[in-house]
Amino acid sequence: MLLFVWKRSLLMFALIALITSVIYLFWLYNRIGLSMDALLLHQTRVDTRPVGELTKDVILRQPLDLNSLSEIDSQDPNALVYLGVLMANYNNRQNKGSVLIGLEVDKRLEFNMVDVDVIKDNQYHYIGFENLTWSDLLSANSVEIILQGVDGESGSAVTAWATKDLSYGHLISDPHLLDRSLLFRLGVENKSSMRDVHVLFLLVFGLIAIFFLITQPARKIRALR
Amino acid sequence: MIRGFSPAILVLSLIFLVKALYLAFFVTPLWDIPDEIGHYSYALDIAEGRGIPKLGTSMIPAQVMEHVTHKSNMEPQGNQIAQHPPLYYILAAVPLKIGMSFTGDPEILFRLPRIIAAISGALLILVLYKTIKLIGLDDYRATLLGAAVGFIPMVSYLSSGTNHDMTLFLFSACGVFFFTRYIVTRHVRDVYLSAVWVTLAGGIKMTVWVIIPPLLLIYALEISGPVKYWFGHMIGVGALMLVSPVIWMSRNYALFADPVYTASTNTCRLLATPLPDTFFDYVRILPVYDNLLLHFYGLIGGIGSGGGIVKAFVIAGAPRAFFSLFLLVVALLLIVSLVQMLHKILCVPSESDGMVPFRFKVNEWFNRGSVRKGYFLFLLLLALISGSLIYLESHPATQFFGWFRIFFAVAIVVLGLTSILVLPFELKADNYIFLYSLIVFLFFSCILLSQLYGIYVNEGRFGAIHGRYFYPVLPFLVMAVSVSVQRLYINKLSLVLLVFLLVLMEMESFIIQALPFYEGGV
Repeated sequence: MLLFVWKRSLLMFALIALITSVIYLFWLYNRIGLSMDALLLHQTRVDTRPVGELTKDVILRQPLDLNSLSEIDSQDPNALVYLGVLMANYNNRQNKGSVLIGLEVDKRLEFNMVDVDVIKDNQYHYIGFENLTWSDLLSANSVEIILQGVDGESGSAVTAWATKDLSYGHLISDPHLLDRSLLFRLGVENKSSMRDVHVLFLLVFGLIAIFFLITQPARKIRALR
Repeated sequence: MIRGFSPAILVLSLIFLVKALYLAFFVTPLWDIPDEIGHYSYALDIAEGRGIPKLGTSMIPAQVMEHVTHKSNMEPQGNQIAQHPPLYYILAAVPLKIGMSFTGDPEILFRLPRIIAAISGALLILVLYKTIKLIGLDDYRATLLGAAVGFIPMVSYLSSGTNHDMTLFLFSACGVFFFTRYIVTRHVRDVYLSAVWVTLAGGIKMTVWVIIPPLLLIYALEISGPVKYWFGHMIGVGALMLVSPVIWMSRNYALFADPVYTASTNTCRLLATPLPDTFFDYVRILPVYDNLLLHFYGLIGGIGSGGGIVKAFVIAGAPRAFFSLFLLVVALLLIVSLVQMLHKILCVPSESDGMVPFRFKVNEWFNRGSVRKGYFLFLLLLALISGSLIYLESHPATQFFGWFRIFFAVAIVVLGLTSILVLPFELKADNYIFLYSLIVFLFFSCILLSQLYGIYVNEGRFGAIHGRYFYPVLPFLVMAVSVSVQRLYINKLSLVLLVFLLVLMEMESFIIQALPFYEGGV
């Protein structure tokens, strides 16, 4: 049986480094969330403007061009769909109320009620749909993005950004067809079942390497009698 | 235990091998390594006994194209990778040939040549460690520096795919090992051994041929003895280094009537009128230095087999910021080391090792203290002015950390130029390793940049900006850094912290960025 001779201080340092690494990566892995998944549709920003405050009863609809969806063929049909919409809160103003963000697929509305407090300025707000799969979208006859003010009041409501890139349809503010499109991202949560295994292996390789880099067992190996 | 290696470096090399093999067989998607389709097809030609493929008639088989595109009835396509010399592909054909006698499963066979890159990466760590030990650095620091290369995401990524860059890196490192050993021990046998490795590396990729002239010049300055003896060795070493270039150029001449015939010789789309921009316009208008460095750290992907919008991505976020800081530290380390060396040579009485065979001897006038101190100040001033001019002529950084990368690029140029002006002095062996390394690195960089500039003015495109092109001379840079670490007595804690962060950032690069990309994310 062999025993490496370690330096105690290095061992402590190595342990601190290992714990730091695990905490950092765990925090990062959770923070990244939806943005790690497959992004299938997004537009470019051309002459972007806010759509106006999403106050009570303001409803914005954006029918999606379904041809653009059918061109994407490499996704798992059972993958869950998510939607991101570029929102703004008027330079971190104190806002109140909530907005509805959803997808209407063949008149079936899947949505989330979002408290405006959690909407960050000029950032995509992502919604995951637990009952909507990629195959649902592909087989649908109509898909619309819905953005609706629920109880917001002027002066304390949030807004969304719109672009002149009309690749994926026009925005409708009933009854008007606007010459702009919501800035949105549509994707699927296609995390494979193997990803966690890969993460574990890569983590193990990295942590063993850190341990050996820091502690570096002494050249002499002593045999225990 | 293998003689001469610390247990730690052996374990770290083994971890790298296991990691690279794991990535190769379970993580890195097939064909998402640069030109992997072509590299595999070349190895397949050899494994199936068709010999070295000929550019123009060499094909990527339909079976490979069908696997890449997920479509049936695909036609074979021309393989431009047949432009490369065959040595790597002969090695890559070995596991493929063995595998073919055991299985017909394409998912396994397509991945088998990847083993060579993984082994090359693991051996590279050991060779770098041994080379660093030659300059007298202790085990702990040598292990940290030798293993550090294995935690650059691009190195791990390329080690998991069928490509010649990692084997090229290994062979070049072997050449640098014997080069360093010659400078330290003065056994002329090592000059020949380094020449053997250089010519072998030249049998993998033509870019290595670029370092033959500066190496020959260095050996011409270093080999001591009577003129006849010197001349004989120079002829011998020169002939040995030129073996692979001569063979490959002769073949090209016989087949294409052009000794340096490549895939782009006839296929590149030349502009009707070359762009009027000068080289300085090129590096000012476009982020050449920045992209080269960012791509060196991590340009992952190629065909985007995950199915997402993005086909390849450059590692971003915290790893990029850390890498930029890392480059800044390396640049400062090299600068301080060179300034300290200059100060010792010019402002402190000579530290000669008494071995100055064919080097230019400094005359008595120059040995006067005041003149030497004046030269010291002149060099500093020259470096400062040239550095500032190059800095001003560079494409400005768009991000805060981008300035660190530009600083590094400028430092490399200035350090290389200044090193040439220090050569005439009598120095210790490790100083020469430092200076020669910087000079060879700069020479190679200049040739590479001139090629990239050629693409820009003649074809009108910002192309071929790949950091992996530096692998043939990267071992030289590792040696320059190692000499600096030794000269400046960099403590273990600072070094271990830096390498620890390198490992952590590599983990983040793969876990947070590469894995989602491989599955189609962005």
